[in-house]
Amino acid sequence: MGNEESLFENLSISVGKCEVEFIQGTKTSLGKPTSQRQDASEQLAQLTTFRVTSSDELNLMVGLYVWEEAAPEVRPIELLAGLQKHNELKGRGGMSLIISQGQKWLVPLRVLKYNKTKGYFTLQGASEEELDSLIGQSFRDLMTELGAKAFGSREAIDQESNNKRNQLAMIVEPGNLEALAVAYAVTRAQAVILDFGLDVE
Amino acid sequence: MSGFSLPVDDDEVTILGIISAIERSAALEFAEYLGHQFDALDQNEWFEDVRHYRKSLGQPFTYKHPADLRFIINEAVQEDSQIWHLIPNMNNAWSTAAHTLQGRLNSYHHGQLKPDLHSLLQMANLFVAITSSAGLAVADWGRALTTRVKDILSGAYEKCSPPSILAPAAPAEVTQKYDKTREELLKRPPLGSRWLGNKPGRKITLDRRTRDLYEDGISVADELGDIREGTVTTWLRYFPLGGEVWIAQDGAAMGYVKGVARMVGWFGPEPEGKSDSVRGFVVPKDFEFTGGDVKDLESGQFLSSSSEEPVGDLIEVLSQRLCPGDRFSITDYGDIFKPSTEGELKRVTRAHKGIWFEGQLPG
Repeated sequence: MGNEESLFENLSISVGKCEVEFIQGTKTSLGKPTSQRQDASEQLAQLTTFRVTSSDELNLMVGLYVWEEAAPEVRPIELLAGLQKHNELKGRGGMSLIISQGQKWLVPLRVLKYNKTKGYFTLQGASEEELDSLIGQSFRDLMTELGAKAFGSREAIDQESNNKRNQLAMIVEPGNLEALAVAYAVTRAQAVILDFGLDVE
Repeated sequence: MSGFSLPVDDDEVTILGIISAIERSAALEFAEYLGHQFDALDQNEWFEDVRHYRKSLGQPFTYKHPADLRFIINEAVQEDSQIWHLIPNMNNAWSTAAHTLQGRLNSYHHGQLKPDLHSLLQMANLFVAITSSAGLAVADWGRALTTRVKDILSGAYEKCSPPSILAPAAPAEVTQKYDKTREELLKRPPLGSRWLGNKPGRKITLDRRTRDLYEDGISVADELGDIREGTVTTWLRYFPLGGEVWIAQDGAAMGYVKGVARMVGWFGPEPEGKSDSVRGFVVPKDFEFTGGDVKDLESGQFLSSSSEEPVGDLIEVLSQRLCPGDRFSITDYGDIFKPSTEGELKRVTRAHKGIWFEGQLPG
């Protein structure tokens, strides 16, 4: 883990209305990566966990799964407590990571946004301004502080040329749990807590 | 003038004390200034002369002495008053500022001017506007207050303790009225405001799709009888996505809105809903009833084109209780009233955030 030393100094991080608490230790977990088909066989992952709590009673356990034969991902493990609307975090909002150049991890920065037509939150693209508005400060600066190596469009930071080239993303060292956990807390939990998208659609 | 007190933070007691002190200073300086002006005209009994003149016209005159800012403003804005002619550069801007200041001071004396830095900044600007042309020293105090408050609000001011000049205390009758307003707020805040106190024990769920209320999976909306639909509408106004709501014993309802526990409505009729007393802090803006609409005198906007919901019913009620051209105010509880310098304020009617100018009421 690249940030192990600073991780132990920062057992929890407050961001917006969320508190991210890092659970020490890594364990082996057997399961199926989200990115693979339903009928794919189970495989092992190294699992590191963190908890996201909030001022409105959210208590969500989340894991960073580093699969043996699939791309890593951040996804919820269990919603221990919360309001009805926090259920939105259970089924949706996993964060699939992409192994990029130099084995670094590319983190697409999509946000759970309220979809008025559908009546629930869906993962959607977000501008940097929208991310800033979620926490009332520069999201880019926060991520850089937490060790992000690059931040911007996928075209700018990873030479992406397909239809995702304009998607906002960042690049982190493999296993940078602080950056991943805080990015998850902001783009998923904080977005749902603030009913992101409800006022602007 | 030197040695005037300035705030170092947003302490409410200090803010109330400063407002009281600057009002007193302005009144004393104006009275002295006018005294000199009238002396030059050999009118040493000018205050008595004004009293007799107003009485001869059948107008009320309750002032005891000239160093009363209410008296000075009331006289100065009337063109048949000598004071109008003795204050230099008297114009519409002066009159508008004086009227506005009078309204804010009235709210202050009723314990209903929100004791925060924004109110103090507005008051300071108004004092500068009415005292500068006469060259009163209190205008310098107003300017210093404006600079200091702006610095505090922007974070540019670094607090040094203790402050060099302590603010005098506000008069006891004012602080008592503020205590009463605060007690009311602590009891139950305006809809859309931050919930105060413990989380209530009874939990029900508001389903925005069915517009129903459930407790342990069973509908409890029928407990509300005739006010069922109105209650759900009110709750969704402050709590648009619905979800869990906690109900206190008096019926006050709390829900989490954007991560913050807020007062979202009442389960049952709102207590004191029929009282005509004016509750809460006054929104620091002035409004005019035009006869068919409401005008925000600061922005010039009209309510009919600024509210989220139709305002026809509100306009209808206002037209029964106000005359075209009447000015009025509103509190954070949505209580609409006509400012008065005499007696207790009486509520004209009530509004809510859906039928009011966006962003002016809580929620």
